[in-house]
Amino acid sequence: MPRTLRRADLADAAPVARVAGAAVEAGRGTTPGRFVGLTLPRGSFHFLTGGPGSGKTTLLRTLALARRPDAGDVELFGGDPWASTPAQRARLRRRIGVVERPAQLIDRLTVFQNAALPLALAGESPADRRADVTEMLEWLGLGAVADRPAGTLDAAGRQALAVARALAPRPELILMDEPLLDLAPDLAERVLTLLAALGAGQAAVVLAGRDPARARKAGARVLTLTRPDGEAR
Amino acid sequence: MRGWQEFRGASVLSGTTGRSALVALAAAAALAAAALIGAVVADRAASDWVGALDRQATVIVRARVDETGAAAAARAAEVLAGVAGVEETQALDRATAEALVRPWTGEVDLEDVPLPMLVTVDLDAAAPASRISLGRALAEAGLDAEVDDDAVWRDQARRAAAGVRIAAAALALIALAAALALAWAQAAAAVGASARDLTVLHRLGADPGHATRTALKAVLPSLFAAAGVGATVAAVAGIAWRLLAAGQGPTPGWGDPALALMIPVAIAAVATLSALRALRETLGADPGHG
Repeated sequence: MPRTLRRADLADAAPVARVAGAAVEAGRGTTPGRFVGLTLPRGSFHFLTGGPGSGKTTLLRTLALARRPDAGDVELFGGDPWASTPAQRARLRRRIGVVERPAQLIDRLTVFQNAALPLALAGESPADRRADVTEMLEWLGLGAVADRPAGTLDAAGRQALAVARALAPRPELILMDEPLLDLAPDLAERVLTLLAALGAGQAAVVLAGRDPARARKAGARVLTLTRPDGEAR
Repeated sequence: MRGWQEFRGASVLSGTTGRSALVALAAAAALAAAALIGAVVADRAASDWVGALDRQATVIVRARVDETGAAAAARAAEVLAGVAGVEETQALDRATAEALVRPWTGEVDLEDVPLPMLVTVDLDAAAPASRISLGRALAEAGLDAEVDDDAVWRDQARRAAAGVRIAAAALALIALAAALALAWAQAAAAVGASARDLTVLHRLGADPGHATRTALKAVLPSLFAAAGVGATVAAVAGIAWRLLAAGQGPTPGWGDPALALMIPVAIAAVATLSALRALRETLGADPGHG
């Protein structure tokens, strides 16, 4: 019996993200990075490592649609995000959970408001998702400070909040730039375990960091970016 | 944010226009509104001056030996009233003629001084009678008279009135430009101060329209309120001017203070444009904009 393929099936079959020959300026005065053949299927866990200026952050920002590649192709959820309208790109961004370094929070909003912001922006029902946010904050040790302004948190608290905000919407693509660096060791371990579990499920997880051994132990596939051409190996 | 009571009453962006900046904008709006009302009053007053000169002529009547000055003036007034383009004439009596020259003569007894008899002529504003037609009518009636239609003064008065108009309009434009420039700068500064938060919203997937609305909501109300306060002060001053100086010179019309309301509207429009431009620059500086 012939099977009819639906659009949703095709979308599910497509990798979450694909970078093909994309070139991005890693920063002023640095050599352009080239990322060849990086494909992030659903249920994948990658760890990006490399020296300073190798382009880890730039690659993450490119995948997060925080910057446009200077050349080559970036595909997200089966399509070219840069061929879409700004509103469509905004919708794509809501499917991505990002932790930047340093954590980019809205300091005047409370911890809870920051964590719930992506859900609120996406128009998600608070009745359905408020508990998820609260649970995530408690899991990350922020339950007691949920009503405090984010600007009052220390570096570890800000990093934990950034992780909570990235994960609360249950994103399909998770991109985190050194998310464990400021966290207490036991919390860092729990976060890494959670990310590995998400990467084993339906999400594609990409972490950038400096401890590939720890990531490999957690089940991540390690990609090393090297200068001067920054190719992923 | 719909339904999220945690966000109720919370502005995602801080309203970042400082109090001193708002006071400065209110003062600038008050000055601009006052200058606008003043320009309208000056324009109307200048029109009135020139119009009054255009609509009036004076006739100096010299009496014949066989009639009194008053009789000659009365006859001249009657003749002139029949000329096309004349609305009304009035022969001035001796007492009025004395009062007219009194500023130059002081307390001198004028009883025996032969004063010229004067007839004032109000001309039709739309089609005034010319000096020539008035003189011809007087000559045909056998009156020895001289028509003074203020032609010598009229051009000077016109130039002076134009000068007043231009000066008042220039002052109003300068005050308005200053207020608008201030609003432009403050709106841009407020968006710039929220640039980091706007970038966070953008990267979290806020719709472009949502980011725009959020930015405008954070910036515009305070600027509009400050401009409104300033314009209201100017409007109240305009009403007070009207009440206190009625009959003592040029005053605003009752509707003129309402012109002040244009200032906050203009300031809001300019602040909106500035905020949108600053927003585009802010998010445009983020390479992932759009």
